[in-house]
Amino acid sequence: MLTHAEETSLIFQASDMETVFTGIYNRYFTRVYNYVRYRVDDAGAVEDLTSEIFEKVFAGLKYYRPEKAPFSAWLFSIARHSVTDYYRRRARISLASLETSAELPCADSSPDGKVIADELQQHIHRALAALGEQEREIIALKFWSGLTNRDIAGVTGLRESNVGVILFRSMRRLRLVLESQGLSSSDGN
Amino acid sequence: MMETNKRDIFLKYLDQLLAGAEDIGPIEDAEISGLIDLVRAMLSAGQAIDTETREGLRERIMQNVLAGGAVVPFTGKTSRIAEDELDEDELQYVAVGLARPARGEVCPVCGSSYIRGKGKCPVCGL
Repeated sequence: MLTHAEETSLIFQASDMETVFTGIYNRYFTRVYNYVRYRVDDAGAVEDLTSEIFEKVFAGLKYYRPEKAPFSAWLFSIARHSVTDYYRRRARISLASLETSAELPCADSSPDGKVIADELQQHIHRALAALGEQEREIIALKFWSGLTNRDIAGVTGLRESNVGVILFRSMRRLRLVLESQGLSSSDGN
Repeated sequence: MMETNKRDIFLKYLDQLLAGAEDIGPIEDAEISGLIDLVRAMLSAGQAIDTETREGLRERIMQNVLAGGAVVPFTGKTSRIAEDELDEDELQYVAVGLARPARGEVCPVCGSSYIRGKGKCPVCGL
């Protein structure tokens, strides 16, 4: 995890936009992609939203002020609102908000370990779909944004103590759902 | 073990794993151990994004970013539209003979649409 100073250096001291883009993309792609994937079931929408989030980040980069918030907090605020906007737009055009899509990310046909990881990821996403929206959001932020419980509380409007409670209980539920699917926690490890 | 204690222990281990620790020592409580196994599995599976997806998105985003094109919120379509072209909502208004609703501001930071209030975007606060 980058320190605040390292993040700022990455953004403001690179000589050209392509270098800035590459640095930020390499650093944050996995986290942003997984954050969106934990919150949105539609595989196609995951990619489009990830793209949208990075485009917004770069479009707004000149407005980012390090003294106001750490870069990761700023970035995930954009990510969070992008997902919220996505659900609002879908609600306006009367689509189901959390359909479980048959189009889960395709498993690569390479070595067994990768196939197992992809299958496990699919199980995890099916199980996440059984949780409530707030539970999914808290888990997604905790696992992929790099924010502390206190930061997550600030972003979501919850109390810090509530974040911990929701996280613990959500993970318990997630584990139970996976076990009901016939998968134990240690599968894939 | 009381739930509060279990929760605090689990959250402490979770923070360690998210910070990159691999060995967090022996875990006595069976439930916490099971939850930590789940955390490890989720983190491991989350790293397994196929290269094609990663690189494909990189190319797509970089082209859009460097071209400096208008960013249009995703509505299920992947094509871009010009800034002065009517979107789906506005077309519906026009189709039934109503004037299209006044466009609010688009925040230059997060891209969200909003009606300008007191200068700050109510979405990202910047």
